[in-house]
Amino acid sequence: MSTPSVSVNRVLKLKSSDGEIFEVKQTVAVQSGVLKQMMEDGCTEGEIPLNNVDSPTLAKIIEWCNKHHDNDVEGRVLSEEREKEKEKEKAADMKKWESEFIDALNRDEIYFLLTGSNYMDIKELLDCAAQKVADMVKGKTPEAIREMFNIQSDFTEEEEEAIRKENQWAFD
Amino acid sequence: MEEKSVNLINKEADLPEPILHHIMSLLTMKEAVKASVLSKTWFKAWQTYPVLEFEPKTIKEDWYYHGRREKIFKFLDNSLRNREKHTDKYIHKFAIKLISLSCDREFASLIDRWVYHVVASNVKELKIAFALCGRHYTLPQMIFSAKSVHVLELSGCKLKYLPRNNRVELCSLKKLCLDKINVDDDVLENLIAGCPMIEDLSVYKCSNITSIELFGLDKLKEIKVKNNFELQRVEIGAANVQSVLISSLNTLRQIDIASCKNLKSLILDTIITDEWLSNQISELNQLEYLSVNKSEKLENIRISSLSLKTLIIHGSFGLNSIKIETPKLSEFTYDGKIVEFSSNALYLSEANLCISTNQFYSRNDEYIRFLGNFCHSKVVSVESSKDVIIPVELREIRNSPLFGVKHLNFNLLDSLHPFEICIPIAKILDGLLWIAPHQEAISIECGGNKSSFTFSYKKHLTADCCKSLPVSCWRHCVKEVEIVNARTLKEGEIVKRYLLQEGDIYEKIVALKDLGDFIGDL
Repeated sequence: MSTPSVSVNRVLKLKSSDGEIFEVKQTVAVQSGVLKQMMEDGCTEGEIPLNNVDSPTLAKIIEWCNKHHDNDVEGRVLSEEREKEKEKEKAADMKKWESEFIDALNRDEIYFLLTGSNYMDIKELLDCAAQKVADMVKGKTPEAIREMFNIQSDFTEEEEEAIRKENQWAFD
Repeated sequence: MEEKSVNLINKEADLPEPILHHIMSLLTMKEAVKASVLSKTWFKAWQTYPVLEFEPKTIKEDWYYHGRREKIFKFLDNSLRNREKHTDKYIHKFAIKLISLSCDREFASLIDRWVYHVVASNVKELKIAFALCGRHYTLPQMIFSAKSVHVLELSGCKLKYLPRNNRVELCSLKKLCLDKINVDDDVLENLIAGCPMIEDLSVYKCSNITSIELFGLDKLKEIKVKNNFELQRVEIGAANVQSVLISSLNTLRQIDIASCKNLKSLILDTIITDEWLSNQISELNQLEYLSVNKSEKLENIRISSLSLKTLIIHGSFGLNSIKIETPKLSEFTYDGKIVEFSSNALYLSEANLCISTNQFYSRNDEYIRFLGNFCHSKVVSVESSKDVIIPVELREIRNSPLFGVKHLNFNLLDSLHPFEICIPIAKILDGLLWIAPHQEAISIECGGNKSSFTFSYKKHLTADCCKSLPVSCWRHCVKEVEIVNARTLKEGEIVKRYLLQEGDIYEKIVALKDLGDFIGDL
């Protein structure tokens, strides 16, 4: 994943929307499509403002990226079959970590994580957060979903009725 | 980037459309439709979502929709029209699967219209699957000029009429899957010839095809040809093909793949001869993975390959011998009766053997000799009957066959008494410890139960061990044994006693003393 312009020890300074500075290793930051592109273009001097990401969200995003980075570089020489086993174990551990990470968030945090990872173009994190929302939506009535996410319908009663009628098969 | 104000109460409604589309991609269409009434933002996101996938997952679901077919057809029709308005005439994916519907005229004209519509909307992925029974739906000609399609999967339809001048222009197509399609040789040939970018081709259970010829398709990487009813000939001469699977009923007479110079993986589930196998394999210089299944005509396999790493031979019950000259082979899987085996594989680290022996008399000598071929493998997995327990009198005069093996996994198969677990663990363990006397781990599976034993040894010990093995056997140098799940507490006790007692029989009791420090999960 590394590019010639990325060095192991260099750090990027990321500035959250509320002005807090976070230092992130370049090798970690490449997980963000946006930061990767900036590094390749050589424009990462000074502070990089991330106007759409607040500091608690950025901290979470960095925690995710650090975890996934550690997992990549942890290399040990093992025999082939042990290697395969280890890979499997590692993947299972990571899945567990990911679900604990995402389950610990409240719905506001998930929302900010979705927009943040979308903005920074971190595909795996976006997938994970979107999956969480999809899992929450599955099997629930629209009323239950609205309550869960605190969504206020901006349809008039007639409008909503019309949509439901047209898509009756899905609501049966 | 402008500061975006976030409505703290109504956050989800505020999510940008790409994220809502992302979430919808993780829902079924039914759930996505339900979510579209949440708010105007969600509704708009649904209307612009460029994917329509109507694919019931179960028969029950299919029947559920069957009863509502009018409504669903109307819904799909409307959804497509809406997308025309809202998406700049772009549909990424259109998939429809209706298994319990047979094709009447009204239905056919509706589907024709949808196909026309999505092709005109530059669809990238198009999947259409119908029931096999009744009249086949015949796909409209325009499917052959769907220039934007990358993935085309068709099932239970008929491909009949080629466009004028046989002009097929599937110029973006990368993946083509034909399943239960009624198509003749001529149409298939022209179809494939019109897909210059094709990478992945599958032809399953199609009728009317007698011959598949694939030449000059430079991008083609993966080919699967499976159970086509009338297929007699397969000839593949695509230079960059890496993976080929051919599975067929008895009709297939001629297969030629020798000119696939870059072939890495080959799976054959069809009848082939000894001669064919050795000739074709010797031409495939890049072949790493070979799996040969259920070929009754094979008697004496000879495979010579400098590249082969994995070899699987399964269910070829006419076999007498296997001779392999494959120096790089690392994994060998065999399922069948005991055969003569010879190999020069130096790096064979893993052998999986499912040995079917005669139920009425066992030939222990043959069994020991066959296992002996794998004495230098690290991991050996054996599935067999209780023949694995070699009688004590024979142990005196034979050498342990798997003396170099580190991990031995045993799965007891008893075709006479499949549900009985009458053999005590200690007895099986005793049998396995003779076969592999210096292993590090043994696992025993029988009757749905798995027990495992991990052995650790004292450092180098020059014991005058039993007979002339290049390793000293466990009795003389074992330090500790870890037992996990020995079926029952009682069996665990017996195993423990057995391990300790075995030490008493031999002189080197010291080496066994530490066995008292059992880490047993008993």
